[in-house]
Amino acid sequence: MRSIRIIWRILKETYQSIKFSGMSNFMVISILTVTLALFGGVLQFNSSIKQIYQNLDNQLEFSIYLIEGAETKAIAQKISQIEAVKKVDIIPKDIAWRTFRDKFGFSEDSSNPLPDTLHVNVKRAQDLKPVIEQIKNYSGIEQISYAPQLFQGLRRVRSILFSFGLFITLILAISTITIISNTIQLIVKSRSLEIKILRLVGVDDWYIRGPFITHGIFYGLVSSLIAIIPLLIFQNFVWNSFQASFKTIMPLTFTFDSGNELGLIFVIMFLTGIIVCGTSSYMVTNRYIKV
Amino acid sequence: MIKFKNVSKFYGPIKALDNINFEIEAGEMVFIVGPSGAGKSTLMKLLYREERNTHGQILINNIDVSSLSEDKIPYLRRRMGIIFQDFKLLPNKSIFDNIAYGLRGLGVSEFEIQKRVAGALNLVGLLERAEAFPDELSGGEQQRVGIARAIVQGPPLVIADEPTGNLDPKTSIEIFNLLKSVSLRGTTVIVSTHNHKIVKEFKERVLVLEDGKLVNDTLLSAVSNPYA
Repeated sequence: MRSIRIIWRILKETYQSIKFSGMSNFMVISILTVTLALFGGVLQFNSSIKQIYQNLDNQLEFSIYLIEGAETKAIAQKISQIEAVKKVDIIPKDIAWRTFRDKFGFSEDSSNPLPDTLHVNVKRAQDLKPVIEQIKNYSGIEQISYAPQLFQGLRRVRSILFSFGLFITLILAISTITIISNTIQLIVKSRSLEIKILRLVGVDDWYIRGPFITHGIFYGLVSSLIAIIPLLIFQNFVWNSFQASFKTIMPLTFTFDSGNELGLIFVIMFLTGIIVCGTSSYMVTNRYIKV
Repeated sequence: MIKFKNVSKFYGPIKALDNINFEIEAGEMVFIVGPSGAGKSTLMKLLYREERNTHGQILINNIDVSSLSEDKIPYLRRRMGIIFQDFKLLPNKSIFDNIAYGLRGLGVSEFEIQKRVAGALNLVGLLERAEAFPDELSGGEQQRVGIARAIVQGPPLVIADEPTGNLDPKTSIEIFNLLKSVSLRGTTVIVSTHNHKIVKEFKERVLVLEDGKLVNDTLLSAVSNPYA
């Protein structure tokens, strides 16, 4: 019963402390929200790109563009005889052009620049590269297109953006920790008389420090909840439209599944906010409140 | 109850207390007198472990205060009440809440707090002013609140560090009388003051400090007054 009373009183003291901080709360929460949103954004970006790779690596299909005048049926026949190949579809250049023209609004008078195309399906994902290696020297083949090849450059972009994002997050995190520490320190100093009275009455150390630590945790809690909002907006609007656009330019059929890690990202943001803020506050109380 | 054995306290090269030896029995009222800088406040701070002695032993109920670990200090302080020269009242809290503040931190129930605070306020004669704020009270009344806060837990020891330093002589006598009544209830009371004239009127034990040394330890009726 005594413990419950003490916890309740710590929460009341925390409320007083938050009320006392006034506009400082707004400033700290704003900066912390930006930092956490950026951190979550970097994680979300990384997760999304990673999902693309995983999807691409699991593709069973690739496209072959033939040179003008090549023996389309003969090449298709030859490829279909490979053990690992499941099926080969011939897309005549007239049909491909009609589809392309309809999709992008070219006039019917335009000349057809497209070659005959073969869509090849392999039985297993790991067959994709060996089959491509085997057929790339066949005569009549102009180009082979498959998803991982298309996005080799993206790997480098992802790596650079991820590192840059983490670097910016780190700088912001340091600034945020400094601001939180200064805010808590100001509150500790302004309440020094109350702290002294509690110390000399013989109140437990953790009761004196508790409200300041929970004040810090409050910042982490509120900021992480607010920081989730822009990430949800990004996920539901920006990313979903990107997926839709992306599918139209892909020669292959595959699905995105980048939303699965979003919950985990939210948990990471939430815990990071609480742990970083709680720890910063604890360190301030450790430094400025003596027994 | 309290025993100082060869206690010294240094602040760097400055010797604040030099080889102090004395004993105080339970229920005694003792004045510690001396001019400013004599070491009175330092001696008081050693008792409630705000400061730590450099040499010697300070025993309270046979527990060596100077060797207490930090996590044990709150338990020591729960067994004593401390009164300050500047009262140390929270200006934004009522008299009642000022006294209750520490009790809440100790997890005492609201019912028990009501009972104890009312009892303490009654003892110092301020029960009617429970809802007032510190700036609505005179200096003497504020110090009486300080005394109520010190005794609200019913501690066996009360330490008053220059409790009348900011008060006029008439109010000072009232405060000393109040501390005397606390002592008569069985509480050990240690009062530091530089006001030797007022102390003279109380027939109590007096320890005289000069330049960090204990120069006299006797009943006031038998001691000369070097500050008169």
